[in-house]
Amino acid sequence: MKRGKKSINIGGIISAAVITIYTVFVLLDAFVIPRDIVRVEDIDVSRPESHSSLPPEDIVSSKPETKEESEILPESQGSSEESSFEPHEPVYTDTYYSDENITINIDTVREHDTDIYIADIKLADPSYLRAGLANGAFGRNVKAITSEIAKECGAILAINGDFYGFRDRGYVMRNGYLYRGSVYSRDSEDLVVYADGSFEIVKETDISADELAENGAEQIFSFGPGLVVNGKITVNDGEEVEQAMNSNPRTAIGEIEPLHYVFVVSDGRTDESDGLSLAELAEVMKGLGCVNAYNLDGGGSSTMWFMGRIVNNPTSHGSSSHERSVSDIVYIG
Amino acid sequence: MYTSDKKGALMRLFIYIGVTVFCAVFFLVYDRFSHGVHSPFMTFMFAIPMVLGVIPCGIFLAVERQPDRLTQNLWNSGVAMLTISSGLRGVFEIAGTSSDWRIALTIAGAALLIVGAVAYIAAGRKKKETL
Repeated sequence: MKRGKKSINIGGIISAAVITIYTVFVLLDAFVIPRDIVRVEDIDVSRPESHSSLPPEDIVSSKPETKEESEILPESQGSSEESSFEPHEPVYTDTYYSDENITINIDTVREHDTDIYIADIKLADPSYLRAGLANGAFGRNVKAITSEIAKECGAILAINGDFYGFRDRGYVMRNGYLYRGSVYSRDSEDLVVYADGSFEIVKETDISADELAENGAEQIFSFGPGLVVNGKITVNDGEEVEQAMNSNPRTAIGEIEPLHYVFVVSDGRTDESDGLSLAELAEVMKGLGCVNAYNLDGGGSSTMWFMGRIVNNPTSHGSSSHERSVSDIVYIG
Repeated sequence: MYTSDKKGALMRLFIYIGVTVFCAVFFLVYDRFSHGVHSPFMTFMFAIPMVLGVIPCGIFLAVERQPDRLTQNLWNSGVAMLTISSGLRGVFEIAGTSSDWRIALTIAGAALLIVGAVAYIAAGRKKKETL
């Protein structure tokens, strides 16, 4: 028996439409739509009185045009009205900055077929080690490029942070304010920077964010893992970050001694630079003398910014060099 | 009527084979650009339409008893949701993020599969009773 014209499967069409719309929503929610926003200006996080900062506009305008040594900033740029420090003249080149309270030396080395940028930092006061949030706000998918955040914060030197806004969980404390205290996972290792400038690497399941705040934490970064803990390398060749053990661009921060730090960023994913595995990065940090070192967000996020210019070659796919928008930075300024 | 059902069942079988192949190719292409980051939910995403689609369609063809359209829609929607949920989890794991909204897709998908299976079994029993 011959059947009539085939009827349209309305139920199937509706189902397919609903699934498609929902999938698009889930993707937009995960990667695009900003939410859970807390503006920094609404929070009472006062900067220590002793802190001296360079106005952002001055930093931008003071971008060095050449690599000549011993360029000297105008005297007015070395202090702000809020500063309690004596007026001084910061001195900087493309790879060096020094004033009465901050000394930064940037060196480029080549290891493991990779260019590695090492910023050696000595501070007179721990309050010069700061964190900055994209668009002056905490929140999921609140993003800006590292150089833009650095300029807004009046940074001298900056690296990308832990990209907390890409996740819904994991401790987030910035400049003394606890934004998020939920555990990301059983194995999550966080970097705690205390008010005295000392570093500690902790497991989120071992101590709550509130307890860390009570203990005097100033910053908590949740990416990891810890690379060097109490002078010992704590990752091996098989260690992974979200199942990544390949060579990639990397960003790390380390403490050598009290108020002596290193920011390390490596290139990767390019013909010139393979990138580093976590084990190789840990070796580099240990070799620099770090007592504690921690892996921050890497890959396309890895960026080092110094005095108005990008130091490394940030790239997501290796085909072109461009900054990826991130949630936050760690900076000196 | 039986022939027509068989044709429809064959078409569904080929569609599921196509979806399985698409998922496998999608993984291979995604893996090419994921900088060595892997997720088993992306790698084995193809297994869902294969196990829950190709195999049942093959069985239906063999036993010559096709589910009605409503049951098919429920089952197909469930398989689609679980497959997409697995793919999304793979994407999120590779990117280093997560989404609570994705879990709803998994739960709804599993629920639809259960309802579809129950409807198919119940229809079979009803048919037996009428015979």
